[in-house]
Amino acid sequence: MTAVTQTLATTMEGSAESGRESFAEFFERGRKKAYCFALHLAGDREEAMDITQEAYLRLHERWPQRDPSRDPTAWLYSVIRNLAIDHLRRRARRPEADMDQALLRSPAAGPEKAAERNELAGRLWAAIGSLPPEQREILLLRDWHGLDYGQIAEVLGLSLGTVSSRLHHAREKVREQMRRYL
Amino acid sequence: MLSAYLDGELTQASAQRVRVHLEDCEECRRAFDEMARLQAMTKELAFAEPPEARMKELEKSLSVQAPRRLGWLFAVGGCVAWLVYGVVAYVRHWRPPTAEELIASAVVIGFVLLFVSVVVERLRQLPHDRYRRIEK
Repeated sequence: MTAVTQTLATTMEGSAESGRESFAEFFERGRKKAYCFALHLAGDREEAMDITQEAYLRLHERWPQRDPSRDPTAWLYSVIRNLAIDHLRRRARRPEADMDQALLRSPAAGPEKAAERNELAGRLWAAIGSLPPEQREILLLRDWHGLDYGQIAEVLGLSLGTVSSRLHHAREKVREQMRRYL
Repeated sequence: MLSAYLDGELTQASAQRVRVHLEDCEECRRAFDEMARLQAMTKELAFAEPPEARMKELEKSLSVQAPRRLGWLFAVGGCVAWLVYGVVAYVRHWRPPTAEELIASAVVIGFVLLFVSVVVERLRQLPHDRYRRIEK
């Protein structure tokens, strides 16, 4: 934790009480994934950072009013999603147009395996990128961001049944495309 | 069912049914294994990192937000209280103001005008604020 984060934790929110997380801790643990979620939706690094920044500022403003018994992750993701939709609407741009390989960076691996893993990762990302946006989003929320079905339902405003079936269809499509590489 | 089973989202009874089925059905077992492998591969995808400098900036701006809000609250509350007190005192015990009072009034009026100018500027910018219509 950096000095600034420590200041945040101690001066603004107080140290984390049992079962309660300070805003600084929440920021520290989720900022990279939050940025990636914005990146997945907006498809642009600069915009993703703008969205992440605005989302955290909004959450920070309303942090004292939150329900401390609930994990604020779904709340953060909802805000990011709304901001990203607004960004895309303003630019009249379709998100799938930007799901390019540039968003990926080389996975950490030994030099002999790196090329092979890069290639497979690239194929997988291409398969995920070819999904309809609503399926891609749900697949990434579950398999990359690690949200459970309840959190995904909250973020996307769907029922648990819809989350389950949409995720299954998404996985089937990716599996179909990736079968020959497995 | 397979997806929900993979994610541990089924009830105990449903999970048991799927487990039993997987023991007997090779096709479903293969589908399940492939899904599990793809899930593991998806978890390993590495995306572009956020720009560290901007993250630091954000962290700093978050750390000054609370004291700044409190500062505004005190400044506005103090100004209003001071003005109300001045008006009441003026009405109840009218007398020509002293030089000290005039100087203090000038300072207060100056600060109030500065504050109003900031508020007006913010209101003018509001129609161009990209996020103002977004809920949550």
